[in-house]
Amino acid sequence: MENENQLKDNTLSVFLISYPQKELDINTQIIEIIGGKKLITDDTIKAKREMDLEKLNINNLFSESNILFKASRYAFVNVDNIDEEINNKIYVLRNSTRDFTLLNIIIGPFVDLNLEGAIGEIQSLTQSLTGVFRRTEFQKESEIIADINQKIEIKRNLEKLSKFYNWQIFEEGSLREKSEDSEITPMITSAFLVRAQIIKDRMKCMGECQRIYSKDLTPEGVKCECGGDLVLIPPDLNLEEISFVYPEDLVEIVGENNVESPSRLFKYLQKSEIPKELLSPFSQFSVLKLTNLITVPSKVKFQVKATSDIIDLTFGYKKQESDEILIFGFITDTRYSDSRLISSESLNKIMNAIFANLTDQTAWEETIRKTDLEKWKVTPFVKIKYIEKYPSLLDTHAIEHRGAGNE
Amino acid sequence: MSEEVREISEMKYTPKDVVDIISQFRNMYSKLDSKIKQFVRTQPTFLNEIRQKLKTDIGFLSPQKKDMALSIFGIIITEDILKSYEPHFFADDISSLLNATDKKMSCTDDEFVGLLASFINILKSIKKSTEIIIQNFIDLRKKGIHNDVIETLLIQRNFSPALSEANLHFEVGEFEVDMRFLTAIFAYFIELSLEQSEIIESAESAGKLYAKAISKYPISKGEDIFYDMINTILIEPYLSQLNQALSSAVEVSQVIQKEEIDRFEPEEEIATQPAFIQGRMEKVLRIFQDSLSKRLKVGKEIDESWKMQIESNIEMILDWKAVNEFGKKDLDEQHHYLRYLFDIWFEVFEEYPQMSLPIIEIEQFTKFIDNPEIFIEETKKAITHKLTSIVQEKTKDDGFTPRSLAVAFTSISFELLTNPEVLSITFGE
Ligand SMILES: [Zn+2]
Repeated sequence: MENENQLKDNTLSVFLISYPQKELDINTQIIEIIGGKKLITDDTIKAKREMDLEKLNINNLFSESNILFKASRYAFVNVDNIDEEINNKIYVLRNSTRDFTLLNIIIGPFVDLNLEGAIGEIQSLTQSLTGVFRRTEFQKESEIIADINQKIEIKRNLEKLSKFYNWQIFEEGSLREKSEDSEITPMITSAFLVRAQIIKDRMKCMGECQRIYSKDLTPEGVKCECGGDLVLIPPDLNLEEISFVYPEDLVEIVGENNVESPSRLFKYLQKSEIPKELLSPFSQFSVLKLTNLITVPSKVKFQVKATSDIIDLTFGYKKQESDEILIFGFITDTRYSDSRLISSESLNKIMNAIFANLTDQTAWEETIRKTDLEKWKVTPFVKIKYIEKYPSLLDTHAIEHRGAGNE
Repeated sequence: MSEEVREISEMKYTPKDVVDIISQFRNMYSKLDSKIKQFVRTQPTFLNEIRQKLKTDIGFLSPQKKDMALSIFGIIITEDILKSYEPHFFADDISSLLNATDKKMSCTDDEFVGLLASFINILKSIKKSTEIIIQNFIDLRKKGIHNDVIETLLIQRNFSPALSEANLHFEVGEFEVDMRFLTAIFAYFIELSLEQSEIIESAESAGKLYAKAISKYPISKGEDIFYDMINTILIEPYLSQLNQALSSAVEVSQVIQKEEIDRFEPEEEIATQPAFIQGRMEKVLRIFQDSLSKRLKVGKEIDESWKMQIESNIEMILDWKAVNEFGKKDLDEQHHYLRYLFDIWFEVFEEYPQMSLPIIEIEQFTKFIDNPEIFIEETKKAITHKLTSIVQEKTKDDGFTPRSLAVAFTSISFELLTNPEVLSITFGE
């Protein structure tokens, strides 16, 4: 019991909600920070942080397309100390209905939040709030209640529902199982390695303009030109080069129409990164020490809108000397079951082999040859800024013939 | 781990399968007409008495429907569906039923029979689920969980699934019903239990409670309102009264629980085993469900890993059941293992009755289709007899050990599962 309370007190759970205020054509936002007694010591700090978060445009974070962002887990890497183990993880869950967009962010020292289960709970929580919304909307139209009452009611119900949600995580433990049995075993369709540059020591204006200053362009003093306070923000990653690994028959397996171009594959990775604007308000919780930490995705779940199939990204990383980090990842997909693909059951084994053998960028292909993906094709490294130039994975191999320059 | 399986399953309401609800409706609907006619024929005095009492209350019904409605009231009373049901309450409820389904202005006699069939099933169903939920509420309070969490848990894991189930009773008759009416019936049964504990003087009729619900809650349709509507109509008005009514039950059972714990303390390990067995059993059932709904249908073969999983789980359950009953493994009296195996088998058949098909006589097939559960219950002996001889043949010289029985069970189950007749029937999907 004591352990559970410890965990609860050291975990921050935040809900961000956005819903339309029809007659005014604007969105109302509700922010609710729950728990984290050890992290938030008094109510004024809590109120201040809720105000920071209210500035976010919630609808635009992880915005929708035919592939929906559902849930993710991120790990932290200390920029200055490679070997330091950071206990905290960050989880992001998202759900949207016709009227509502809801984000739940959890930062806490545990690794076993069951993403599938949590998505289900978040969906049920959103549905419940839509009911409150629909009822209060009706009452507003019949002039029984005013706008502000609607917001109060939604907030009050969110508080209750989120307590139940947190109870399932911390006390009952039903959302904390290791196994994530899904009905269908997904297949690995491709893998990639990205080289990224770490950018640190940047400042952000917390006032009107929200501008970000790089290290050498930071104005004198602690104020922005607009008069806002400047704060140090967490380091970021600049993704520079990428190499893809894929089965030779990919086109045949997934069909002409579904084959992913390099830029479309890269989009998954891009969408897996935690949005900067979401992270910077959290760096204001100084206890989290986010200003020294890079946030690296470790698991991201997407859902194919049309068929509810699941596309998972699973990541690992290797920090290099200097300000570089190598991030490798695998895309698994429930849409395909071709025997020429490799089942996701081998994923752990492959990941372990890569952790053990990948020393630097040049060892990538050689490392892949030591895994179950040994027969797959490995593309040369493509500069990300030119990725649009390659209509298909096959086209990237031309770089080899032309030499290193891929401009 | 085993403890968790038990706890989680105890705190939620598990709704009935839609297939059961469909057959329950069909059953009721097909019998109701003749039941009504029989009642009119055999109970004229009863009907006349009630007709006098309710003269004005059911004036909105045509004479033909009046007879039908009054007979239904008689059936509800004489068949003990509700122990005490005031005639005036019934009149209120029928009037509300027609309002809630939008059938007040026009309703054929056929539709009326359907509505009454759904109504009887709903009374049975909501009465039962309210009892279960109140019991869950007592259990939750015993666990000392925070009130806010209990409230939400009651809504999300108990009343919501029970309300969905209740709604299905109308959906299967192709009626669309105002959710507030169903919720009002829950309120009625809650009030009945408060009346019994003398917290309130007397319960109001579901019909009256429906009128109240309409004035309190403006929306009538959509699953998204379940949480908010249940909160408004059931939790806010009744929770503190229920707390009051149940406080003695909670205290008493806390004392009993403590006594039980004291009594069982030295044998703690054994006391936790049934939950372990239950957890294993659930795993086995899941594997069967998987095979029935997925693998076999898409034409994939059952592979070795399937067999291994079933075998090892069954072996474990048999061992644990022995330890649970006799405090040791390796029983000399091997017939106990066979007894355990049949417990398992009938649990599987209960879930997937179609699996028993290849072992029953073909003449009984229609009886089986009619009501698989009851059929299995009735032919338990014959099935046991037949299976015993098959098992004996499979185990031969090995005798009945957990291992040999697990292997036999798996191979027989495999044959049952791949039987084309079994695959052609879907239950519980
Ligand atoms: Zn500024």
